[in-house]
Amino acid sequence: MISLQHFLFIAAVLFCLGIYAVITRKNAIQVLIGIELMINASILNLVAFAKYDVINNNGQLFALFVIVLAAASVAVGLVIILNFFKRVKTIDPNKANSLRG
Amino acid sequence: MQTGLDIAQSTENIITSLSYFVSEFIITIGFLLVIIIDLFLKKAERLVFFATILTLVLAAVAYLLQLNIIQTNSLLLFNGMFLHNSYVIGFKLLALFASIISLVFFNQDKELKNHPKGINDFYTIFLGGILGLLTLISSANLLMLFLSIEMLSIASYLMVSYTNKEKLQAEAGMKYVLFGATASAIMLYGLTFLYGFSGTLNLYNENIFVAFEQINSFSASLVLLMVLAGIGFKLSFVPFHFWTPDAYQQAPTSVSSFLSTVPKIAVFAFLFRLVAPFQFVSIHFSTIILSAAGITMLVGNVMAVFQKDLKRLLAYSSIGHTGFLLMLLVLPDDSTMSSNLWFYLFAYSITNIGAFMSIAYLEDRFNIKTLQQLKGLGKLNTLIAPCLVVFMVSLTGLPPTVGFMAKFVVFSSLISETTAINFLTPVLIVAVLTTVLSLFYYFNIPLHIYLKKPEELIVKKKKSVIFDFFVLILAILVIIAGVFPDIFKIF
Repeated sequence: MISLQHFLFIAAVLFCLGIYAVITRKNAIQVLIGIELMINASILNLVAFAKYDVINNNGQLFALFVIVLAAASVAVGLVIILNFFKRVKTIDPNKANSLRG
Repeated sequence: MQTGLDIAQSTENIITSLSYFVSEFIITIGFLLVIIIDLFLKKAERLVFFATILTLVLAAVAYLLQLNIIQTNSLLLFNGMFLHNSYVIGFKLLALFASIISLVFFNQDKELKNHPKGINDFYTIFLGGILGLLTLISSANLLMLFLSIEMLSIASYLMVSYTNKEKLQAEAGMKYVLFGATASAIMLYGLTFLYGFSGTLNLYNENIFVAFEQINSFSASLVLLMVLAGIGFKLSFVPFHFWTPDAYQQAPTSVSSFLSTVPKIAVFAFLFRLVAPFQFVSIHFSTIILSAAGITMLVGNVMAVFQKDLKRLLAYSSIGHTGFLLMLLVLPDDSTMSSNLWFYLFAYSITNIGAFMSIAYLEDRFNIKTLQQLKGLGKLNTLIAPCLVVFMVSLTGLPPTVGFMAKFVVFSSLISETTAINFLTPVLIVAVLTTVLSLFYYFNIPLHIYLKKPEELIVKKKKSVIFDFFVLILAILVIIAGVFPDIFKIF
């Protein structure tokens, strides 16, 4: 029997991996993948909690909206990263350090 | 809490709710209309502009009509998705007012107008963002909160990166989008736990508070901190402020002016409804808010002293003002909190938009971007330079401007609570000290304009009458609202 704790644990691991990727990766696309992992952790959480909800489908519905929104924001992120690549010829966020102070 | 609404009841609720949702429909229609006009008509720049401004004005009128009908009782619309009362409408009207001024500003912005693809796509993105903003102000449900914050965020990423000819602009855009997406992912993770602890997505459900009393205060604070990460990114309070100076400096000036005012109105209007109930649940919550306020004021004002670039200076000053506004959230009384918040946001919006407009004008006409280049401007320009000084006086908070009245109202309402709320006294002291500190950098601008000798100044382009007109109107409004503040207090 897989209990709620298992789901929450997996989600927490996913979230931490996502944060780790966002902090350490030297490639903007990999950072986006990290953000996607964090969002997926939240989706897993939502669906797991929804199993125990008194109103049916509340959490699942939220999860569906989150999937759509994650796709939208990743699309926007990719466009902006592509534009950065065109100007600077790199997608290393650490190289984006001309603006300071 | 009803365990399952029966379908007839919930359909009836939706149908009665539709009549309160007219403005959002108007904006949706305007959004689609602008896309269609842009697709099928060539050189429709002026038509699209008028369609956009008409949409916003109609939406504002629809709210004004509702303001007369609804008095004080709150309504929950669409089965608890949205809250509807006079405060919500007041904040929505303020947001629409600021966005109408911003729209005129976008239309005048050279950087946006010279974009090879034209400015029309920008208006569609803008209208989408406004829709998210209005639903954010009235959202009463975690799903609605997340949806509207994302709508607003995605629109602002695109607005910042809309003009991207230079390397630095692309860099600012990328920092903004990566930082923003991370912040909203963290917020989402917090929201799922809010749902898990309470078993409801509805913010106005009693379960949410009952649940928070039962779980230990560490996890409650952690979850609230995660939710605040996403909100804090939009408000740019410390430590979520890193994107602010970069994005404001590199984005077109009109976009910086929009970002520094309108989303803040919406997020504060939401945050005050979130904070008020949670204060009693988690004891540490007001401490978290107050410490964020204190650090934000310190960082914003101290960093602003070292800035050379005018837009960067205003970015740090807007961080400082966010800290000031955060202090208001710990007030125990809802109605004074919202009316003070409204007045401060009103004062801050008109002043800040005016300041950004003057800077855009100077950038267009004299190619002025830094403090040093302002030297000797007072003799060359007799209209914009004095107006800029008025805005700076108002941002500092000196009489006879609206900024003074706003700061006065905040201090006078907080000073009586110092015994009731922990940590309020030191934060108030920080507020006073940083206000004094802000004199240094705000008054650097009049100092350079009037008292320093000019080095070299070339009049480059002819002046724009609309800019002149709007800056003058805003400066007059700042002074009138400072002398007669009662006219502008809706509540």
